[in-house]
Amino acid sequence: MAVSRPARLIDIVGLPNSGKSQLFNSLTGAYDIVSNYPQTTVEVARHGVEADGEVWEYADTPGLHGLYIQSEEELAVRALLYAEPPDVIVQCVDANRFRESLLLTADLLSLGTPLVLVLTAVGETAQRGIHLDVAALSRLLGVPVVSSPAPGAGIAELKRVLRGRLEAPVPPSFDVEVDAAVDHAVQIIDSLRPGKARFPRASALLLLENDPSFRDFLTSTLGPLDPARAAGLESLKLHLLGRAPVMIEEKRALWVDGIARQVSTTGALPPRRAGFSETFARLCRHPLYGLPILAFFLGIIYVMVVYVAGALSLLLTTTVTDPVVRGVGRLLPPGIWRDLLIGPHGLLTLGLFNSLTTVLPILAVFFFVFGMLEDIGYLPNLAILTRRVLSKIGITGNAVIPLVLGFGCKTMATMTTRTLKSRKEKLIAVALIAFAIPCSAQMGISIAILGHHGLKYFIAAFGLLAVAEVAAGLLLNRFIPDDTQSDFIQELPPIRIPSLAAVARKTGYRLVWFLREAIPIFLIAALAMFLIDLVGLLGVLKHALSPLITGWLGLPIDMVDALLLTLARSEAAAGLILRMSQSGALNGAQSIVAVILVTMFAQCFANIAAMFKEVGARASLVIVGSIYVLSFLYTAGVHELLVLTSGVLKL
Amino acid sequence: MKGITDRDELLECLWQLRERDASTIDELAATLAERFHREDLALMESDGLATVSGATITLTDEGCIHAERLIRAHRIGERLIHDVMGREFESGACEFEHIVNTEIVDGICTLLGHPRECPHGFPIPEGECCRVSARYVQKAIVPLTELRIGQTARVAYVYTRSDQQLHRLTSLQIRPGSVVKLHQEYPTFVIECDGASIAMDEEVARNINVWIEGAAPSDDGPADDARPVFVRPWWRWRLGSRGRQ
Repeated sequence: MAVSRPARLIDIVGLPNSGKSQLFNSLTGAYDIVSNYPQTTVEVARHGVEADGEVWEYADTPGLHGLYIQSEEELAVRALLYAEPPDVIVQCVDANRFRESLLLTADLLSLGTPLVLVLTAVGETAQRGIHLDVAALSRLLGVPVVSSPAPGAGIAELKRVLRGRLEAPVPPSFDVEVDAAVDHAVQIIDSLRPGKARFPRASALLLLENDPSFRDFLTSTLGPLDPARAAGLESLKLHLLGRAPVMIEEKRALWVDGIARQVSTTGALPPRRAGFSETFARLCRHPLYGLPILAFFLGIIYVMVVYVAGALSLLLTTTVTDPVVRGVGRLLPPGIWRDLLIGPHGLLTLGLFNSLTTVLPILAVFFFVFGMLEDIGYLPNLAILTRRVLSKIGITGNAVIPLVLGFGCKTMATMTTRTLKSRKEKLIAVALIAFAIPCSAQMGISIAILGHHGLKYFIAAFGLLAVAEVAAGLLLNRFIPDDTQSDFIQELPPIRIPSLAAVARKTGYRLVWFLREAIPIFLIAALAMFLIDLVGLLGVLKHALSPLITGWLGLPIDMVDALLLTLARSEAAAGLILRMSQSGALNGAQSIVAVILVTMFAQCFANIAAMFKEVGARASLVIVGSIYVLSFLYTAGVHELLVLTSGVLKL
Repeated sequence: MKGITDRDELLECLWQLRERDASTIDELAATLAERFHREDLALMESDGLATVSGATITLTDEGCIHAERLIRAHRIGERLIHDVMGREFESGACEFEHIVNTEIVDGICTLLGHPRECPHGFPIPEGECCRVSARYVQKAIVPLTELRIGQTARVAYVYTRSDQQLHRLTSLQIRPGSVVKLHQEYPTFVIECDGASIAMDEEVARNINVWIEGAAPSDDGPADDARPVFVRPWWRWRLGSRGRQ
């Protein structure tokens, strides 16, 4: 199929957590993960849609505050704009953060690309008594404005606006002096390669504002800035009667104030009491009250996974797995074909049913509960609560959020570390995410394994994982040399009541993604295990590893199967451990050791790839290699500890 | 030289050139334009305020003392006009340094919480009051870290370590004139500003300076009370109606 250039490229941009992915999904019918926290999207997602016989391509972008870049994922958005100038830009304007959004609008207007504004969260601001005059906003800015009072609303109108003719907007005028300086800078830029510079006005502003990376970017595309032009630019900055960045910020802020004053009206409201959302957010972050809330959420996850998912899994096993296995057993005589399908490493038992009836119910329940927490906006508030503790282990600034996100998906969390400016923080965060944090899939199944034996096993195992994580953090913090400390300034999402439908959709998406990715791997892994068992290699390996597994770790020798499976996919191993645990092959103490070992030992390939990208090959290899060694040493220590304390703790 | 004002102008200009590392006669001429008279330089020299050698002109120690006092008064004046009266600081402050004495400047400086930068972002030379942190006038501007939890205050000015930090804070609407509310100070500072909750380190919060309750200028321009804010007794700030809607 020939790939034709889309008739229209439409970039969706906006502040972090302003509903871009939501809008992208509504416009394209595709699905990009939507959550109630900043940095859900860290890479550009694209999707083409056919409209009126043409292909329109929409791009969902990471959050952006302005063209002056504050982090790496913002740089990705600016690079996209410059590399492929869109035909239309759709800006999501979070009505809660109207002025903040308008600052971005000011930058987008200076690009000169047709712009459409979509006002989101209007309902929330209306509750706070603030009303935005959509018509006035559209008139003042000279661009169409569409109001989207609820997620997914206003899409039809937006599509109609996009189908219409869109004019290039008039760049905003901040101040006579700034405008004059910008005009001069535009001439300097244009003289480099006449007519070739993209977005000359926006570029001029960035140069005057001393954007650290923009000058290099500009000279790399347009040719070097000779001394005369460079001096000309410097003198423009001096003639602004002040430090140029300060002056431009000030004037732009005044422009925003002017617009905001004419557009927003605050209605008469009864004396405002703190709403539920604010109070709850504050309690979540409170050093004292935050802890019972955390315990409450963990309790819900535990009960849901152990009891609800456990019942679901049992139901599927008795209604699907058992009859099929019995049926196959009756049909096939004992021998190689029967073993291939339903033996200890059978394609059906270890491959298909392991993924479908053991792992899938747990993931379904866990993803649903976790999705609720994401959409409530709990995780960033939790990050605040845990910050003091984490600062002791070298996670001093913005690294807290990626670390907490690691409990969702390690790969995503590793990718979010690109928002960190300090190399030290980035290394520590990446290493700690990879080390002892279970991702949501691992966590769900681990809870199921430990919950099978009882709550105290769950607490012991996760407590020991936390100890390992803290110890690793302390050591890394001690031995990695200090560099620039990044300032911690973090926006927190408002607490929202999640929509069940949205969470269900997100869960469904994640499960489909899991099945598509995992089932083939489960099957291949089962086949590989079957083959190495057939040729006798597994027996040799078990014999060789027996001192380590049974001696050091006190685990049954069949754990070798699980460890081999983790090389393919940790859920496959965890599924096997769960069944070993249910069948009594593993007792409670052994389950603790097994869960800790698998959590640390299992390295997700997608995460390793993300690590390579974020911290480089050398650092990644050192981290992964150390984790492989440490996981065995630490679990061996845990085993010894459990043996020594077995009389006291009765684990 | 026609008068004291012209001499002061020249001194201030020389100070600014020194800040830019461009103390040459050419730059001076370019900056002053038609107000530049070469014979003034000779007068400056004879007064012992500046020395000319070749193309460069430098302030003498005595010249520096004078210029520093003028620049300090000028920039404090800008701060006052910017923070208290509104935003049009460029026109109002240029006469300011010629009429007030050091004592008044120090009083205003203390009132404003010893600001370190003018609204343009240039450093304000330290006065005696900054060095001893005298409190003969109750401070009206305090760092965000001194607010009580739940207290609302208007931002007076923000110091930033870098241009990037300035952008980050401005894009979050934390800038002079915005209203912030302190939600939490432990484990980190959490404030509400323009509808968003923002968490930040203490180091950042300490550099955000706010008007304490009752001392903030309201949006509706100067209050009915025509007396300048800095001569009001301190207890009136808490009782007065300013800043309350």
